[in-house]
Amino acid sequence: MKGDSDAELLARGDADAFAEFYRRHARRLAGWLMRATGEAEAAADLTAETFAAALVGRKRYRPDRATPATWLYGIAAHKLADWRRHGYAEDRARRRLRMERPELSEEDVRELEYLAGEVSAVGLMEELPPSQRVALRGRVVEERAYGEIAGAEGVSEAVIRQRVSRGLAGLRRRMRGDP
Amino acid sequence: MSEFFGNLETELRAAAERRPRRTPPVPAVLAVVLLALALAPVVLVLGTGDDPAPERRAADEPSRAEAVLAPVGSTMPERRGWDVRARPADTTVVATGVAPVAGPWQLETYREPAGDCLGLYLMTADPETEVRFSAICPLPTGGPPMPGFNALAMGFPSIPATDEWLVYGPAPESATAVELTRDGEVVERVETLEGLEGVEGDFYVMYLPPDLEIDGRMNWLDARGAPGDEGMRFRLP
Repeated sequence: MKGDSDAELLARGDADAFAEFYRRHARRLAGWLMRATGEAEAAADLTAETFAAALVGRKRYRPDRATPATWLYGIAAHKLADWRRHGYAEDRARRRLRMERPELSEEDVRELEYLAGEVSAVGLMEELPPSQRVALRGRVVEERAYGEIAGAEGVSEAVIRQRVSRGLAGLRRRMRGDP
Repeated sequence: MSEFFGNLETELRAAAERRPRRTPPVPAVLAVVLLALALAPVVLVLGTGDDPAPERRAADEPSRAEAVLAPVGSTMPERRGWDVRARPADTTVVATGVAPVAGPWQLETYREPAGDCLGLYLMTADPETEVRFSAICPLPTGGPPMPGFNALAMGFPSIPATDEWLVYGPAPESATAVELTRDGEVVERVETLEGLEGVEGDFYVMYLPPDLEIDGRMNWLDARGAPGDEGMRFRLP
């Protein structure tokens, strides 16, 4: 199972597969939410609710539309937007699953604070749509010319410039914790 | 040693082996959605809770789904209430189909004091928990940028259990397809629906996945497959 892709884990849908998916993403997602909220309790609530919603909706995941990470962070972004709007994290998915959110110890709070500092732009890049991620990695990380990336992707240079621009905007939003 | 992540995994594992509880009605959220959709030709199909709900209506029994559809040209009488038969006025069915998640739908035209309207009805929606109706009312009567064509998008990012977007609207009589593009690339293209025989104007209904991130353009295509106009900006959250 460790060799399975995220999409394969979601497609399997059983408890073991979802647990593996959870282990791959939980800490980074929690760090992102901690960074976005600045509150350990809120980050824990949102992390639990996001994975509960992902568990409920895992059969609706469509690999042709987004990476599993993009899908997961999309759910988290909705939860985060709700938290900002209402001042508390909703628990709809957890109630459906009859789940309790584990209590946080002081050690947990410290880990969440540590994870918030670990959130990096390169890591967040993985949550971008594939077309933007490829363009951004090619241009910013690998420092390839726009024309070269465009040739490899079979699109115009203008399209690659636009994808890079949108990718950067997406990264900025994610670094701020915006949806 | 931190225990939160391990405990949460245990909770998730246990939950994965339990049957989920059916989502209770959410009248407050539903009311907001219905109000907003009255102005926007996009239906957001909400999840109902029990797996495998998203695929059940269209994929399971398409012939049964189609059986609930009224013939094009038929009249749906005005009816007050909240069930799937409720209508704001007498309406005329101009097109029907079956969406992948939302199941059978009917496009219906009707007249209100504000003008002619176009409504999309989901024929097997649960009125307790799901959006079942959306309308463009009144329909645009011409003018820039694209007379006879309209495509707006409303987003409800606070509702996480979205299963599908249905985007719909009128299209010019000369349109053969409606196309959604992003950065010049086609995201989705659907053939137009002819509507009523002898009545000017076509329609379209497009199905989009809930997690589609798009800031693109919607346009219609003529008989040669050429863009009918410069298109309209189209966004989903």
